Amino acid sequence: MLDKLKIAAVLLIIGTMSGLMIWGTHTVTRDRIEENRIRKQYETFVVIFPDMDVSIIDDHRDEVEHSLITEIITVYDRVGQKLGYLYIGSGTNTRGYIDLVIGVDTNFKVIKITTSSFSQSPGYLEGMRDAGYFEYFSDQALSELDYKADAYSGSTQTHDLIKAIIESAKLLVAGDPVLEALKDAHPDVERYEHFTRHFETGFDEELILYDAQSVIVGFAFVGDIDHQGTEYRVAVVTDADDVFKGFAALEDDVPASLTTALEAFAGHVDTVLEAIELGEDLDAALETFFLNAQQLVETSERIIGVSRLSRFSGIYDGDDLIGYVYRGSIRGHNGQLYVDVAIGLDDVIDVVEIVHHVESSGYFKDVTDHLDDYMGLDDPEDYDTDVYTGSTVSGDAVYNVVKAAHDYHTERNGD
Amino acid sequence: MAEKTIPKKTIKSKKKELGQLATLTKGFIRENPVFVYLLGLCPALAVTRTLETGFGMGLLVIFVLVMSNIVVSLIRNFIPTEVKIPSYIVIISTFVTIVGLVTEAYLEALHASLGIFIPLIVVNCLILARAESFASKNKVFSSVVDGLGMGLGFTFALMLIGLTREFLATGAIAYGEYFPIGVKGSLINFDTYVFKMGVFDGPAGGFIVIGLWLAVFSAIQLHRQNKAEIAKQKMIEEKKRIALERKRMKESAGEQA
Repeated sequence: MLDKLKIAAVLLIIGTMSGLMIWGTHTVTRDRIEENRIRKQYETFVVIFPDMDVSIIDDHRDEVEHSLITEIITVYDRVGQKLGYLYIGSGTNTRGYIDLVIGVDTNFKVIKITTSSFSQSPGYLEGMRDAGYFEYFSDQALSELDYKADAYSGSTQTHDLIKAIIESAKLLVAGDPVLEALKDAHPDVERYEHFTRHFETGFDEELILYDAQSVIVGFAFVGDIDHQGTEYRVAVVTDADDVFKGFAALEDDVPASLTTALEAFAGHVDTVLEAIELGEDLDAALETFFLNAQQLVETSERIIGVSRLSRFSGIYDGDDLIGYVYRGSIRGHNGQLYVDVAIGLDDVIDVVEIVHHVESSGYFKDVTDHLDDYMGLDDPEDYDTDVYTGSTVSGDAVYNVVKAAHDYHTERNGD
Repeated sequence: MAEKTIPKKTIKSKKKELGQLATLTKGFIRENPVFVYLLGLCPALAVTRTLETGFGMGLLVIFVLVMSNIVVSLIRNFIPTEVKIPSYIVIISTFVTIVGLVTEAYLEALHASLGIFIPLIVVNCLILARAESFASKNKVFSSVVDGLGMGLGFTFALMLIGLTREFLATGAIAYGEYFPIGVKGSLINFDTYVFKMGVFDGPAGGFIVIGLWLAVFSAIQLHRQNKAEIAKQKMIEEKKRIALERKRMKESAGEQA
């Protein structure tokens, strides 16, 4: 017993002394290290704006809360003339962090985008640089920036992180009323991406919602509501578990009667009949919209092997319901996969779509190239799983969602 | 005239001094950590693209080696056997963290150049080996001398490799690039294609240069061993000859009697 106590005491003393020495050294060197970091950052700035006067800069750090952009700097030359802006952002993923500097001129056209420091594997960034990834941004308008598609193959996660930082900068430049409306319903949302659906449902646009760390926090399903002869864009907002968060009116001039109906429905999403009783001006278009929304917020069931599966929308041919869409989320090779499966009332699979993934593009192509093979099957077990032998984990994940959705569909519709 | 006797204490001190000097210098050739013991080959390959970076890494290793030897020697009688190695690792990693912070603050260019290989000093076999095999069994001063000797030998090896690689790859030996000495320049500069062999800048060149120097050191070791062997043989034969002569003299003395 005494021996063990002695061992513990020795380790405690050694650990404590180590900690104190490291703390002391850190205290002495901290300011100098920070000065070096700032100087290195300014060296990056001067690469973008060679004529900048480092002594005259406006730092707008207070304006950039809740964003991947951590600083906005207005840059001036030696005579005080504005040269442009620097958007400095930082993000992390499983491979490390990236500090990005986006230099734009006074018209918000990109001068240069570069990294000031990073801890990602250098090989990924070097590959992207060699492929002209960063040069491609020059002279593009920041608010409409697009990406060089063939320049980040094999560096998808690094590209996704850089893209997230750039998208944050875009929103700061452009301002975004859609984002503001989505944030009212779901405060964690910091940015969104459009998702193009290939079949008709009650909604004609879908948005994937992300937080500041680029984690999916929910979805928004956007449709037009014809209210008193005018169409208004309204989104149904859910979180990542398909729990209803609220409605977002994406336009500024929504009439009070529609707002009242939306608020009334939001408080009573279990049954559309109660909403009809509350909403005095509810018309047929609204009723259809709310019916779609109600299906969206049905409680999802947990299927073994699939993180979450929910039936979230009907599929329509005009006014006729012809099937349902199921969304499953499941762990793939690199992270969470979201898969939509559209199944007709005749139990035949219509479409399988990947809503979101973080798989390596090279491997996942084997899976996405063969999604159409699911079409027309009335039994997922007829699908040839040999087509994705090079990406078994990802392919099996998609297959499991399709199977779970089909089983769920046949069980529910058989009732 | 009375015989001059040398006091035993002086003899012992002189022997000790010579021993300490031998310990200090053994790391250069006879027990060079890189070329004889083949320790620390990872940094030897990775950070020796230039003379300055090799020298910089050597300095950091000397500091970590000496300081960890001091601490290990000081507390050698208090560390239980069961937790010897974990304790040494904690001590070594403390000093590695300290050098990492200090270089990041005051030698930024060197820190950026050495990169991940500064934290990797922790797993340099040389440091743990000297702590375990020497510092844990000897007094503080001897441990300091041992650490300094091996560290200097390691630095010497890195500088040799760095010098060779930089010269062959660029034709020049630069200074002032990584150490803030106020001036930058080249010690020599042969601006001809003969010396600008890019292969020596990369990993392949590192292996080639280490292999060449290993061959040189092996040749020196072999030559020394042969010389020692020859000297030993000569001594044995001399002793045999003397013994034979004595025997002959005894026999002839016996005959005469």
